[in-house]
Amino acid sequence: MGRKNQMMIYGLLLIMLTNSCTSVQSVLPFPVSVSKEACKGKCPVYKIIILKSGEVDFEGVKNTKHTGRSKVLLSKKEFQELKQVYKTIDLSKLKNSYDQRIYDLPQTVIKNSNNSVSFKRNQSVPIELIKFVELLDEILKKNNLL
Amino acid sequence: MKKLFIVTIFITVFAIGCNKDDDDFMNLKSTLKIENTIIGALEGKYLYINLSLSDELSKDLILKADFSTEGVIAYINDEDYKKELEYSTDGKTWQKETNTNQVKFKSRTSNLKIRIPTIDDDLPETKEEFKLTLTPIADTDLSLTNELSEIKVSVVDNEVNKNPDEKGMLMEFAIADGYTGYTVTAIQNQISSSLEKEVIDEKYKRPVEDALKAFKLLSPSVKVVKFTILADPSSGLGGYVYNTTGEKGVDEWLMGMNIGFAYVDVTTQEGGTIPFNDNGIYGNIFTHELGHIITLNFDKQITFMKEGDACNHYRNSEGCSKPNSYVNLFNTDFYVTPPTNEPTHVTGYAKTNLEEDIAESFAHYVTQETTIPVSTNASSGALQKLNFIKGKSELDDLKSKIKTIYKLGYSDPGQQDILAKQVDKNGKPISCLNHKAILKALEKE
Ligand SMILES: [Zn+2]
Repeated sequence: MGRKNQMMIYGLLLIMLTNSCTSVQSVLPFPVSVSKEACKGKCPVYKIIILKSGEVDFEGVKNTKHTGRSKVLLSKKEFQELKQVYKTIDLSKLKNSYDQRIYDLPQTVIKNSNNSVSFKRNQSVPIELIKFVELLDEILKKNNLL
Repeated sequence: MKKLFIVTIFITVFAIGCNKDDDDFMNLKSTLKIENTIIGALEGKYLYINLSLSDELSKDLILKADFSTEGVIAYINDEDYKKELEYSTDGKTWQKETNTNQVKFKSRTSNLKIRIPTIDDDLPETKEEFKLTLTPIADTDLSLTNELSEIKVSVVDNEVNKNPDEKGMLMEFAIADGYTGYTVTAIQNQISSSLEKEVIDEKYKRPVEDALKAFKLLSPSVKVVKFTILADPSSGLGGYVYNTTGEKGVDEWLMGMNIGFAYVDVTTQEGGTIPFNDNGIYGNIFTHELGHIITLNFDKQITFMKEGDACNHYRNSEGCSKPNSYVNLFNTDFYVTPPTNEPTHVTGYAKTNLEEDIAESFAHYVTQETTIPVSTNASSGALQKLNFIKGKSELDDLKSKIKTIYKLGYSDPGQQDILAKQVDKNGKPISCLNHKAILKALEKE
């Protein structure tokens, strides 16, 4: 095999490797905001903005442990875990909205500077979105906000 | 012949010699081990435990079993298993002690199999658990190292061995045609509270039976085919409803209810247990969900349509509303030119969209104890909307019928939202129910 051919194969391999990773974003779009809207009942209604630094701007509206605005700095571990899941979400490739015909489930809206997605939790919603809000809820509960 | 005689004597002496050796076998020191401390079985089958001794003992070892469900959330009910142990060395011949909670590790053996029978009943159940501790009965002759630890035992139901489709749901029911009955089609196997266990054991019955009575109030062509429950008041979710046929335009609905609102007092921080729907909040939520089906069905309300089809009336995600449908009329009355007098909506949640507004107005009207005063254009939007519901004879008739099934109370905190928004000239909140005072306050403005 000539040196030229070898180089070409390496090149191809590199391209394949890079392409297979496109579902995971290398630069995460921060800030990202997540808002949870009301349901029929007593669901927590809040809005948060997560900054690149791991700082979270929380605004509890209703049925939250903390009502009003509050700033929290996530622990390294929490932020790392959150980024790990956030990495798998590419808002530009998702629909803007997932099946809204379920009445009374709370709607979640995730937004970054370019894109947004709104959904009510059900089977048609991409699993990475569900995982992200579940983890976020867990973190907010740990930080005594929910 | 002589030869044979000698051989026989030799064998006999040898055999006796061997027996003598057996009798002389003496070992009183060993370590007792267990193969697996997490075991499970499908109900009706046996639960198996394997024990071993590092060294055979020259004396029988008796072990006693203690069964416990203390601290176990998905605790097994007594009638689901027998607190009886059978044991065997070969796994073929099984025996019991007179004390059936005891087993015998016979001398000169190093393995013991134990099995516990579970009962195959017809009840729908979750994966139920108990704890089992095996303890050697004290014997001063023995020097035993006991490496046994507590055994976690689970029994899986064989009637409904399926988790609900939706995460977080506790139970799913298929509703028979004509609402003549129901079958449990799925039960959550991983439960996380004692309330959930109580619901699966017994407390699911009342909400399902009440729901069947209420579904009979719907037009016969509008069918609720599935009912699901969760029992998690901390989630805050009261209920939900949707048409399961999606793009087909057929009335087959699913309703989900959080029966945590029926059995837990969600109005207090402590959240103590209450008798079923004692504060009427669960009844209010159910009425709201029923309101969606009544106002969004394909029977008299909505015409199914594909994307791009023209619609000359109010249109929503279900389709195009019929001219005399409740949502179309509600849209004309309250959404073309929205009322401005506060409170404009019966609850804060009613502000979500038209569909929630009409469902909340319906639930709020059905919940009313007093007669609704006639509204004018100067009345609050909320009062006008209550009068809208009152003016539709089908909806008005449902009020007394629903009240025979459910106790009704105002959903919290929706009612408080209204109180905070309507104040008199001294800044004191006026009850939304006190429409005269509201009108008087408005006159003075
Ligand atoms: Zn609703």
